[in-house]
Amino acid sequence: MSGAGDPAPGEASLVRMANQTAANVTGTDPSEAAGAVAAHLRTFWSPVMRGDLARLAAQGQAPLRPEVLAALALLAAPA
Amino acid sequence: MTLQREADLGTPDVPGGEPVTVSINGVGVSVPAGISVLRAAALAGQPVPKLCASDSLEPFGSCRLCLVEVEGRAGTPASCTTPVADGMSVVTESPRLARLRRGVMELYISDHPLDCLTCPANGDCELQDMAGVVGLREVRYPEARATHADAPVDTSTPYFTFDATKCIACSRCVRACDEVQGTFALTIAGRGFDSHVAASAGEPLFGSECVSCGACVQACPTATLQETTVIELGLPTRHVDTTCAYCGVGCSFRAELRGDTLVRMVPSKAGGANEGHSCVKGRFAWGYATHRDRVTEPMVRESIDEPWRVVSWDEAIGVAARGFSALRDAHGAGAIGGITSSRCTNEEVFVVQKMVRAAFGTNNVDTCARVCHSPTGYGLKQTFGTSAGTQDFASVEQADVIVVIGANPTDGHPVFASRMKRRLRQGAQLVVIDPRRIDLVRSPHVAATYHLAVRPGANVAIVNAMAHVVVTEGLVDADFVAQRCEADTFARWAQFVAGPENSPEATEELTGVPASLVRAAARLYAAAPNAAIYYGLGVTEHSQGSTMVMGMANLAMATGNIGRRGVGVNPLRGQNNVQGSCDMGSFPHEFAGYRHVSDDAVRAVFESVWHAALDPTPGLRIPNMLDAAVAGTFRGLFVQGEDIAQSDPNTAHVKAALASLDLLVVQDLFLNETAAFAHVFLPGTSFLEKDGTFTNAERRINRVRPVMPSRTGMQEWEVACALATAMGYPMGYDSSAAIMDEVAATTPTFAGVSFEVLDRLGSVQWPCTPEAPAGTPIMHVDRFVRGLGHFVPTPFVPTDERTTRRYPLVLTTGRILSQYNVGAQTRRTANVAWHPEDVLEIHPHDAEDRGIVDGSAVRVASRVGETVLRALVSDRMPAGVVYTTFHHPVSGANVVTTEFSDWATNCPEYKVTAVQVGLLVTPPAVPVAAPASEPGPLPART
Repeated sequence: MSGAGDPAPGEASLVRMANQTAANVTGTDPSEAAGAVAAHLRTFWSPVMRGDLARLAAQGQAPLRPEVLAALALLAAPA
Repeated sequence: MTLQREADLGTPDVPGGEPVTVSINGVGVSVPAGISVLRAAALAGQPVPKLCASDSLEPFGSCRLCLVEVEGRAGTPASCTTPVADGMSVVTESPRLARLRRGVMELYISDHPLDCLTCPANGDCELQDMAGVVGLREVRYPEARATHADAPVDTSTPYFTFDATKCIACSRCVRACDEVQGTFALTIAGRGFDSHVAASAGEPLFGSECVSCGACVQACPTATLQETTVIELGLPTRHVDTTCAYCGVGCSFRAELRGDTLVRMVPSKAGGANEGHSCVKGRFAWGYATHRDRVTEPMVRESIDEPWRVVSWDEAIGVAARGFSALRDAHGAGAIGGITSSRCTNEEVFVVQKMVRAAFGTNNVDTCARVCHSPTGYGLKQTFGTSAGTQDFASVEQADVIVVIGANPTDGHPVFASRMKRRLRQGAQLVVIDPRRIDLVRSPHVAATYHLAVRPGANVAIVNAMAHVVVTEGLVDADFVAQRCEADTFARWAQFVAGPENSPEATEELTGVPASLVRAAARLYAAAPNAAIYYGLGVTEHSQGSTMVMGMANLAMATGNIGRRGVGVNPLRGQNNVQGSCDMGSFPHEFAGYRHVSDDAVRAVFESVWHAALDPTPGLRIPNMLDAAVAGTFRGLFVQGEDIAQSDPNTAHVKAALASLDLLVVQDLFLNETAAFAHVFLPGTSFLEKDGTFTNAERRINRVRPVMPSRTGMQEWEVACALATAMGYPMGYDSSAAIMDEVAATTPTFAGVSFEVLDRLGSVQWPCTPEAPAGTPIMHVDRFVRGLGHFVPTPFVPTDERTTRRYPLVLTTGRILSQYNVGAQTRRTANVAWHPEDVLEIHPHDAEDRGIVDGSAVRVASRVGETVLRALVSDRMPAGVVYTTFHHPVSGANVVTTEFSDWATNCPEYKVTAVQVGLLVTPPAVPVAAPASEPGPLPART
């Protein structure tokens, strides 16, 4: 049962996909995790999806893995 | 007028034979050593009469019609079983031979109905031809003799009859079933005069092991085995060479017509993918193209609860164009998008993705490969450098060990399966990694050396365990790795897989496969001179699908099984043009040729040719579009030839998304499940009407030629061009050939492809470039596309889909031979005779626990939905796992599948759904598929 604070279905998908990506790319070398997640999001996610994920992260309520949060920081950093 | 048959040289070619010189009736001819005298004579233009011989079958020496005289040898040997020898002198015509042949023919004709004028094969009968060739003028035997005139006629199959009164017991049908198809359903029963063709244990063909591939019909030299359509319509008078539109094998066919009426589809011996073989779908199940359910006129409606209105093409395109333009103007280009179809031609797909990128102004374009082989694209690109199977199909003929993972070729890719089984009968060893005991595990003259019945969801653990064995037991091909692969990524990968957590013993409980079996299979694969991996959706449709593809690629590189014949990593693509639809730039992050949209140089090429500014950032994938539709940010969708409301997972979510759209435009043959949510319906063309190309699983680009005029009056690419133009982006081509020319001009791997090249060479496998003008059958021969092979560590991350006390079983899904995907085509053919409904296969233990018996109506429930199926109790599945197909919309298999997907590509996890199965004590009407021919309400005409 979803509660008032739960993310909308699309938001839940973003969180799940990002966490799943992090889990799969970080299995052997956590030190490279943030970069790998960031590269994946940059290559395969639309800017709108990345923006929505960043917004969820900024709100602080989405259960995002640390590697995802670090990746978002990398993506937000000036090139 | 009689149709010109394909030439038949009597016996197969023997590749690689050194040239020898033989004299045929005094004329010297150079032929390859090892071929038969019969074939040599045919090559010399002096064919010898024959009946039991065919170049698709091994020599048999039964009919005694192909007798010849060989200088220096006694008697009159059968030329079909006599190999040529250097200096041999052969006489094919002499008074003695003529007398012998007339005697043989007289015996055949003495027990054959003399009803040629009313026989359906009149004019296409080798017996008739040979009687003429040998000059038979009389039959001297008394009419009161014993004959087979009262022999039975078997009409049990929908597509052909077996009339035993016309049979000459030449065994061609039996041998075709054995040698070509590999089913061994037929035999010659009885002895002497009683010799007769029998199916299985004397059963009617329909109830026998016969799979209706048509090989026997193709082989029959008389009207004994005859297509029903020929009996009903008469013999064809002309043909058009084209390509099948079912699975990813991409068989070449001769569409044979009488006037403008298609009479039969005959597999083409010249077809590189199928070499004269076919399956029940391609050979016979083409009637959907003219089925009365076809919608051939455009239709529109304001809202989905209104009836359809038939309109002109101009009006329909205008409605669609105004709708998409309005949504783009109001909400931005990101609010609209399109889905391309793997059932459509390369040219149609290319134009639709161009329409979305250039006219819609967005990269929100995706393709149905999203739900099947998108992990192949990701995984093979990461490791090898491009999204492509590494081999041609013929390569399997050099494989010593064949590993089939998550695929069921005898059902899903039957023509390739026949080729594979032939190699297995020659002695190659087989490893099957699949939860289900598929037919290949044990079938006539084929038995897997090892069957690793892995638990659904544990593929990656298995491939890691096999790699562990390879690395820790010193089975790495060190030379290959050193010369062809990255040293640093290999070292990291090797360290990873060598970890004790990846050992077969450590993963045994997880995978359900005894460690000893995993070790044995790994050793067999690694030690083989040539070992090849073939895989299907049982690999890709998992939350770790991409990881598994990379795991297989790692294994192949580590053992040196890449870059030559007999090896490789080979995806068995599901639909006819999955490879092509991906090649043509259907993914939201890639242009044609798998080049990222952010690549400025690549984008500049397309911007220059297309005269449009293109978005440098990835667009939305199908699941992202659906999520955004539910959220209200995605509002308009063009769907080309796909039925996502039936084929995509979590049907309730898909339908909610479709219902949320302001504009849904569907281009299809039929009013499918998705069209129920559409506002504009643009009628599509069947493969028999298309003009273009398909690219099969071996990267082979085949021509699709129009067999009949478009029933809609438009080619699908013309419709997409008209829509783009109506949106203010002028788009047009003189022909579909011009579209391929544009592909070639913008896509390096297609640089050498054109309709002219395809018409001249028959087919080519990309890369087709100036350096490889005839294509590339085997990839990565001297170097990987990316340079050095790249190893990727593949940690096993379990799916989030878990069995629980509430949902204790795992549901996995697949296909059956007679049906194809969501059944839109095959359900509209007589193939429903074999598979009228989807059933749930359940292990006897699980069935007994629930009081379920064969035929029970059962409720299948997951956390997202439930459906009702009929049960089939079977030990093909291990206990704890149930299985069904998804060919009938009424079954709703995808009502229960979930939103979980591959981590890298969002390919749905169709293969792992936690479910509960319960007996329905008072069942509702069990969803048995209604005949697809039931017409819906007729639309109003304006």
